[in-house]
Order: sequence, then structure tokens, then C-alpha cells
Amino acid sequence: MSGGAIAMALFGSIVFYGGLAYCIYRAMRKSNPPTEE
Amino acid sequence: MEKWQSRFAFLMAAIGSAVGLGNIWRFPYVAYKNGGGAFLIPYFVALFTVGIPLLIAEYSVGSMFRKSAPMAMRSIHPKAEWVGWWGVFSAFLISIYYSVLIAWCLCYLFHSFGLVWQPDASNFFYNQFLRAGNSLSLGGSMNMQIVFALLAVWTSIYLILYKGVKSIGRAAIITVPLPAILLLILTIRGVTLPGASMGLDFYLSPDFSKLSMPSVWLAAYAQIFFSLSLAQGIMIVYASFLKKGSDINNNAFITALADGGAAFLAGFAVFSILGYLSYQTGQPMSEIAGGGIGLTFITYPTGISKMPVLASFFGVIFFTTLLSFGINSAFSMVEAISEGIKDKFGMNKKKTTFIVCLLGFLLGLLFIPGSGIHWIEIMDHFISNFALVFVGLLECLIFGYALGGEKIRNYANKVSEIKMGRWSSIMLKLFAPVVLISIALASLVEVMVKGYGNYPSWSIAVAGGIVLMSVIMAILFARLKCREEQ
Repeated sequence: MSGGAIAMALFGSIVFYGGLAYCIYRAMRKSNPPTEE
Repeated sequence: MEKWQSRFAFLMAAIGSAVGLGNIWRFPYVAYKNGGGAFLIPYFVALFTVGIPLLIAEYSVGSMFRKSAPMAMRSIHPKAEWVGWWGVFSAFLISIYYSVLIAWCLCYLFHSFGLVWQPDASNFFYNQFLRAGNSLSLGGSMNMQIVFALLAVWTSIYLILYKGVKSIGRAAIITVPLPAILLLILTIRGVTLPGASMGLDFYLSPDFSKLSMPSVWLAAYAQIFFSLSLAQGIMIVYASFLKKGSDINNNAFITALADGGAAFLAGFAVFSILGYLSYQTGQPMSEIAGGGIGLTFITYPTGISKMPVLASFFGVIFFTTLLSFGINSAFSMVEAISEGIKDKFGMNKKKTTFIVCLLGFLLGLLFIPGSGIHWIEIMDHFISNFALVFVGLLECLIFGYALGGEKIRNYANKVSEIKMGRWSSIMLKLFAPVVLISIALASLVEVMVKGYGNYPSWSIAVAGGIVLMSVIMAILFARLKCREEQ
């Protein structure tokens, strides 16, 4: 695979799956709010 | 009032509706034709400027009014009801031929056990399986296998829908993660085959010069709009079953990113196999790369049959993936219309779903004889590029001006984990309508100048007539008295 193709594969993966992971994290944080000491 | 059993069930149903056959056979090819990896840039811009704001608006309207699309539109403005009906009728028209495609996948799932399409997948598909000819006449012999498969598809849709939203959630919890896992297995197998890297180069090598072409940007906006199940009343009805105070914005982000992520992953599964096929046969990639029906039922099965080990197993996995993604989208389209009828006329859910499914099955039979494949292509082009785009445009105007872009934004922000800025209502009111008008105009100019494929003008007139008939039906339904008035 060319460097350009690898770079675009990484770029797409970061936005799609990184973005999805972040949104799921936000959703889970709301359903399990951190307890205050 | 029915409710989703959990947020997860809602998300799975919404993602299942958005992720369909198009994610596998449309996105990778559109990306390849429009700059490869560089296409991701207009795709993400389109996702954040039109896809997500429109999805948020549909979720908000469903959650705000707790009604199906036509009745929610009526609540916004009595004269807007027909737009809701036009959307759900368009979804129903799509479900008629979409279920035929799913029936083909079901048949091919069984054919995978013996790889019966060998040695010539194209000859098998057109001559033995479809019995297709060049004529557009609706007569001709039917392959009874497809008839029974179609019956099985509509029976499954009925069984999933008739008990209501909880059974939709239960079905989606299985039928969404399962094909995602299978797609991952196909991708891993694909990228480990010789020649895969050549295929992936074709898919992802960026050609940034294409970003200066307006057609590439339009293709990205069209891909986003068609992929997210917008303007069909589906997302409105699904959101109407959300519990009060449920998140809107983050759910829209999750749905849109999961839809795009599935399409992006599908590109790896498809192009790695195409690369392998090119490596095995010596055919250049530019001749092999394709999309749509040809990719699914000819090129990909050919690639699968050339796999060194477990070819049948991967055939079964591929068609199970398509079948599961397809059935989720199909039942969401049927749910949009059956909930609309139930809401308006106060009919029993089981009875409404049964009538809609029976009608869908009977009309689907028209697409089974040899000419069916041509009619599917023609109908899909006209319903997507004209009916859905116009419904989307009218929706933006109704949501943005009659209801108020700011009202939608404030409503969604109040209940959501992620807050949207003022830009999202500007996108809904100004930018999305301009984009949708551009898509419709580009399609109109293309049809007027070039026609559509090699199809005769009378077939285009028939498709246009069906779209027009759906508008007339929508206006008639909107004029009928609803349950409260009777």
C-alpha cells in the first residue's frame, strides 16, 4: 500500500472510530456519573 | 405509548436502519470514483454540515411530538402533513424493491454452500438466476426460489414489526452487531489475501485534485443524505418512541459515525477481495472495480470462489452480512408507513402491518421476472434523486422556518450530552436546502441531457409517473379525516 493510502486509512479510522468511541464514552459517563468523595 | 426498552435498543435500531446494502455496495465505489482517500474530506464535511444537523432535527421532531412523520408534520403546520406522507410513501416504494434485493441475498446465501455461480458468475446471475433479458416488459417467467425468498423476507418483516417497538429493539440488538462482526471477519480475511494491498491502494490512494470538482462534493452530500435514512419518516418515528428527556445530539453523532464507520470498513472488505481477484485473474483493477448489483452478485462471488480455503464459508458470511444489514433497513421503512397509518386512522397495529406487508410482497412480485433488475435500477434512481431529495428539502424548510431551527437546537441541547452551536440551525435553514436543490438540479440536468443509462424515455416517464403518483397519494391521505376528527 502506498503512503498516501495508509495515511488516509489512519485518518478515516481516527475520525470514524475515534469519534464513535468518544461519543460512546460521553454516553456512558452520563449513565454512570462519577461519585463525589 | 410504546417506548424503547433501552437507549442501546434505540441506537441499534437507528444504526440498523441507516446501515444497509448501500454501505457495502455504494460507499466504497463512490469513494474510489471520487478521489479515493481524498473523498473522506468532503464526506466528513458533508457529515457534519448536513447529515448530523438533519438527523438531530428528525430525532428532535420525533421526540418533541411523539408521533409518526405525517402526524408530527401536521402538528408543526396542518398544511405540512402531506410532506410526511410523501416521505413514508417513498420509503414504502423503496422497501418494495429493496426486499427483492434482500430475497436475492437470501437465495445466494444458500447458493454459497455449493458456490453454484461457478465458473461464470455473470452468466449464472443474469441467465439462470434472474432469467433476465433486455426487454422491460413485466411478463416472463419467475424464478420460484426468489418468490419463496421474498415471502420469507416479508414474513420476517411482519414478525419483527407486529408486536411493536420492543420486538424491533430485540431484533436490532441481534441483527446489527452480528453483521458488523461478520464484516470484520471478511475484512481480516480479505486483507490477508495476496493482491489485497493493490485493491486497497485503489480504494484509498488520495487524488486531492478531485476536491476542486463540484461533482465530488455533491457525491459526498448525496452519499450522506441517502445513507442516513433521512426524509423517509424513519428516524422521526424511531425517535417518537424515546423516553422523555432522552439524549438527541449524541445519539445522532453515534448513529452517523457508526453508519460511516461501517461503510468505511466495508470498503476494506470489498477492495481487498477485488485486489485478490485482480491478482488471480490478471485483469486490471480499473476493469474489476465496480459497485451496486454487479459487485454484489457477480464480482464479489467470483472473488470468493477463488479463495484458497473455506470459500463457501466466506460466501455464507458475506451474504449473511448483506441479509442482516438489509432486513434492518427494510423493516424500518415499513415501520414508518404502518405507524403513520396507525396514528392517523387509529387502526390496529397488527392489522396495519399485515396489510402493508402483504401489499409489499404482492408489488414486489413485479420485480421478479427478468425485467425486474432494470426496473429496480430505474426506480431507485428516481425515488432517491427526486422524491427523497425533495422531501428532504421541504423538511428542512418546515423544520427550519415553520417550527424554528433555534427551537429545535434549544430542545435538543436541553436533553443532550453534546451541545450544538448556532451553526447547526444555520445549516438546517440555509445550507442544507441549497445542497439538496443542487443534488436535484444536477440529477435533473443529467437525466434531461443524457437520459438514464440506456433505458428508453418511456421507462423514465413511468418512473417519474410513479414519483408523481406518490405525491398525489400523499396529498389525498393528508386530506382524509384523522381519528380525532371522525
